[in-house]
Amino acid sequence: MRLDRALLVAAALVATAPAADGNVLARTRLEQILSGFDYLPSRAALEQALAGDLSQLLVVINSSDPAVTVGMRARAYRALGQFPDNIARAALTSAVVAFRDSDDRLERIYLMAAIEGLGENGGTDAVPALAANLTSELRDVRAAAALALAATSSPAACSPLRVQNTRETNPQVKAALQTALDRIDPMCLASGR
Amino acid sequence: MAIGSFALGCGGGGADVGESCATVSDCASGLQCLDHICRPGCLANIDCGDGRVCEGHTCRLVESAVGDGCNAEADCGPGQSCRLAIDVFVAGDGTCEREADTGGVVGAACQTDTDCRVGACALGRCTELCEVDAECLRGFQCVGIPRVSSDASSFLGGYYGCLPSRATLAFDVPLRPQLSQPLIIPVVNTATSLVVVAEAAQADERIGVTAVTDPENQPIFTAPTTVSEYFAGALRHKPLPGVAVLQIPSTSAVALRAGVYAMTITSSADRPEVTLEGRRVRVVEKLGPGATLDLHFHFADLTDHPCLPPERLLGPLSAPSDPDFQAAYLGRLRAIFAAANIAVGTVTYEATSAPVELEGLASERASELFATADDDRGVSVFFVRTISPAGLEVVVGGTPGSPLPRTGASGVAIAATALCNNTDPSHRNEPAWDRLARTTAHAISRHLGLYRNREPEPEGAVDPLVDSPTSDDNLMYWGEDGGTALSTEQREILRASPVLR
Repeated sequence: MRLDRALLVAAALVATAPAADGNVLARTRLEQILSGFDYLPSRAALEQALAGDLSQLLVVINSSDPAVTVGMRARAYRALGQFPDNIARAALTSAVVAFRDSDDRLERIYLMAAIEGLGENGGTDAVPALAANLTSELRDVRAAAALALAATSSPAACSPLRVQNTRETNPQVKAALQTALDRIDPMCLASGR
Repeated sequence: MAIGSFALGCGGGGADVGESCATVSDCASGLQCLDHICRPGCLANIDCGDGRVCEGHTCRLVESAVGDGCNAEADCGPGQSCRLAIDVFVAGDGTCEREADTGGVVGAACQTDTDCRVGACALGRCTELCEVDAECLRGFQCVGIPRVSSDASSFLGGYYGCLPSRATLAFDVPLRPQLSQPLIIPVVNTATSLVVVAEAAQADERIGVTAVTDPENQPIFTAPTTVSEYFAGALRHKPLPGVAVLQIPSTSAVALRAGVYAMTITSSADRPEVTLEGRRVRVVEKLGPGATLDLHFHFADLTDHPCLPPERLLGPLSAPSDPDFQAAYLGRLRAIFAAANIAVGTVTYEATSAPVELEGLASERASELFATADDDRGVSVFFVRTISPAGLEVVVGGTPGSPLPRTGASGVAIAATALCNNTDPSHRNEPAWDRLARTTAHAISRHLGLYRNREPEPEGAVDPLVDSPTSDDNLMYWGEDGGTALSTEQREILRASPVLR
């Protein structure tokens, strides 16, 4: 499924967001740290670069500036996961839903990053969107979804993980499902699920 | 000790090589009469056999008695070896002892002197005592070796022994059941780099070096207690979970010196019940220059990877003949390292033997992947499907990584998702090999001991190099915009790495 990223994040680009002109983004501090390929920026570094304006991450994601790379957008999605914030959750949920069945290879990369981010900050509300990706045709997406469900620490994730664990045949995904279940099982047991 | 006379000389008779003789006068010119057979004149002691030395192209029998003093293997007669007293200050002198019936020959692996048929055990290799290079086997040279007690606690003087001219030698240091242990590490006078690899028994257990004093008794390192202390130190190191690696030199500000280094190894300071017993500390010394980088690619199953075209397979069978992998990727890697006068040598391709779940690699579990690296030399490069946190394109085992295989720091991992990271719209469906080569070279250089030229966090921290290049066009810049430039000192640090041969 093809999707215009601008439409995707429109809901999250609230009135406080500046105009998304790609050309004004030439290597801001935020872009610079998002260009790092061998480390995950800390939340403190992101907050400093964002100067309190989380929507700047969405501007990067939405940018048409050719200097904004695939890797930077993926890291921006992942960075959103470090913020327990409604704007971040909304953007990630939108991406996880919209890119779910995409056959565009870049959108699949963004999907995996968004899944991981949403697992980080989404909590129980994120479980349906994440669980829907457990049946993705792409094994990397299924594995990411399994681990993200565990990261939600939500008992609601127990059932979809168990169900998929009985169906899954790919060894990599099977292992990810088992890792996820091992992590979340105490919460499942505690909640009686 | 005495050099006995022998039936040798300048010849002039008619007997050719291999024919019998009574004296040298029976042999043709240029030959010697040795063991009643005419043989070519010798060039080195090794040509003469045990208990004989080569002097003026002729072999002379050495006469000595057990117990005679000696400075070199050449001082002892047949069936004897010049050996050092164990755990006694040696001051360069040994004693002719009866040669052991068993044990390793010169160059064989050893842990103690008793593992060797002759001489002594130094840097994990059996060595003969010597005075000049000509007394050593070909490919070996006579080097100054600090003598250390068998428990690595004391310096016992120095001696000269035959060690390989070019080699990377590794040896275990004995550990005791205590939280912290001082160690004396010998560094020979031909060493170009020293690496200490400390391994914990559990992945979550910290271990590492907490203090270092150089051969001139100057403290050169104390474990940092804060992040800023770590980045401010000329010699960067800190105890880490699982495995920690210390490398000298990692900057010209802390040059490697021959002699003994005093180090303190410490296990988890926060867990008093954890001692060093059962842990492992190995010392690696690179002898002589060596600037060949072997690369060992280990591929996860990349079938149906979103960043590879559907018809394209990338794995151990296809990579050796894949034009992009060979030309655009490996070719650029070769060019980047050639700028440091490092040649890419042997390149191997294998399917990874790591557990399948590591095909999607969680960075916190990367040590499990690197522990599967069984390549004795060079760098193990693991191609995995994805790395999390998402957006990471590489994970390194450490800066520096371990030059030894099968440790949690024995390699670098590359995410195949990085092949999607191509901004050129005209190549939207083509993997970004060129960019990936630069990313891989950056990771390998960290494995070899180079730090990021400047750190993303804390902002303003720079590497400990004296010529400190902080520009984006440097290979060690951490961002996608980085270039491939290397400073003079960066090139020197790379070339000193014991990963190279």
